[in-house]
Amino acid sequence: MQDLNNISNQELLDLYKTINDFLKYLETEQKNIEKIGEEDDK
Amino acid sequence: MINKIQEDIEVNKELITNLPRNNVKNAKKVLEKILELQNDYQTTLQDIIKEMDSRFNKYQSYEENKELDNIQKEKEEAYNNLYLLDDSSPYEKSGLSQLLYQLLVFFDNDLDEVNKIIKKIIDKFLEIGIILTANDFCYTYYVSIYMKQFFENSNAEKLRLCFEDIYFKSPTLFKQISLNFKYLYYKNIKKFQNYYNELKNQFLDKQTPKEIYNHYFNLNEKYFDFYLQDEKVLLNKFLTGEINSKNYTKEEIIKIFKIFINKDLTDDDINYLRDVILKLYRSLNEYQGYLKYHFLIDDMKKLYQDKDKYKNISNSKYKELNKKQNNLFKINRKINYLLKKKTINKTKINTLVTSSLEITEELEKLYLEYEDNLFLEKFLNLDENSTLFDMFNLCLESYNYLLKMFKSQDESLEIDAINLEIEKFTRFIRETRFTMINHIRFLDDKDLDYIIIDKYNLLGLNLNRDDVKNNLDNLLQNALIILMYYPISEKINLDNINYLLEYEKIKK
Repeated sequence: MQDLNNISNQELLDLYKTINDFLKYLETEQKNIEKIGEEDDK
Repeated sequence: MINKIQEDIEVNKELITNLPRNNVKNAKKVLEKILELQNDYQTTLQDIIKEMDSRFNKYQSYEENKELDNIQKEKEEAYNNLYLLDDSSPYEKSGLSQLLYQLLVFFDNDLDEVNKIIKKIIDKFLEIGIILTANDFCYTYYVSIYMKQFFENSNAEKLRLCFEDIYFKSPTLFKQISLNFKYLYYKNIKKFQNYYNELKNQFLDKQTPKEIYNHYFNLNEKYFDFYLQDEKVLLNKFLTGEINSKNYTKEEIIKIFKIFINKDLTDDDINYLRDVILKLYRSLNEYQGYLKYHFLIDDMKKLYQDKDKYKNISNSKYKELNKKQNNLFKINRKINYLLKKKTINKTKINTLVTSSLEITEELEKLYLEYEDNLFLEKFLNLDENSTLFDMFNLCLESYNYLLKMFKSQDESLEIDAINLEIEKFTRFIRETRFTMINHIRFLDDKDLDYIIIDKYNLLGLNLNRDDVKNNLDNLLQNALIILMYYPISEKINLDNINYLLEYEKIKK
């Protein structure tokens, strides 16, 4: 990732929140798709 | 940077949403894409976390101020010697008044605690050079039995058994032991007086009392100054939420200044006001203490009215006490004589023991009256020119009086809480460099609020009576915020503080 040293405190915190939220979103989507797979198996 | 990342995330979200997942093969492709994205963004997140942690550690590092600890240590050592300068008796100076009271209210403690108190009292006598033995404890039949066991270095179990054997026969055992100690103190009072006079003389060998007090006040004020400027202290105050970074922006601080002064402020004004607000803070603290402890002045004024009646009252009370005590000792001699006989007359002994216990109950009352009388006689040293400070100072000379007065303010207070209040009062009187109550006669007892308002308005502020009288706590708090503004604006980066607080929230 490009140089994090030079960004402000607020930008760093916002970056963390944004990416953390996106990872949570991906986790939810992953679980949804795995559920679909399980139902298909049944 | 964040905008670019947000855009990328939106694109990826749309991609994930739009990818077909109607069959196993398609669902598998979506899953693969999700895993790929998770991998990439996890790596990015780890880099971000690394940078976040690094800043967290960096912003919390500060220069250790060893001088603050040194000043605190020096200040406390100086404070611990101040008691030598006041006019209280050795009974107060040694702490016997407090310990003997704890023995009187033995029912508030368990047996181990009570025995520890007895040991502490014996050690106080030892400090003076008086070695007590079991032979000194013959105030009553039961006191001799218990203290004989005590001095034989009996273990806790043996003492407990002895206590259980005695207690129902003599439930006031520890009160009797307390009286025995009082008797021993007054018997050895000259030694106590010599000991504390010697300590005082050593203390005053190279300095006058005024110099000693000034030295202490200077240390105390220096400590306060250093404390408010210490980076570690200020950082902690922010991180614990004691102070709020929102109050320390220039705009907010100006609003707080406006509470004290109604004009548009320049930077020069703000610099000038530091000293004025510091003096105001001290004056308001003095005023707050005066209000908090005014109940003592009210009571002392009533006692002062009758001061002419107090002449020599302690002497006559002591004669009465001594007569009763001699009576007690006579009965004890009879009991000892009967115990040494070949045939023990239990009935006669029991009758004498019962008599002796009744006398101790009267003696308990007489000793308290005697101690009260000693305190009342001190009012003879006051006159119409005595100040409020003289009155407060006199209170320090009687633990019994302070105990009674603080308990009267809140009957529900336990002894530990009362002692804490007494300690706070003592510190207030000894630590404060008074500028008002040491000049106001207690008979005048003026409106201090007007005195404060007039003085500081002459120095450029705009205080009003309502604020000082009814909003004192807020006024003090705001004055402190201003005093902290100066070091904060020089030493603390508020943006970094906000970062630290946000970081803590995220990590929870």
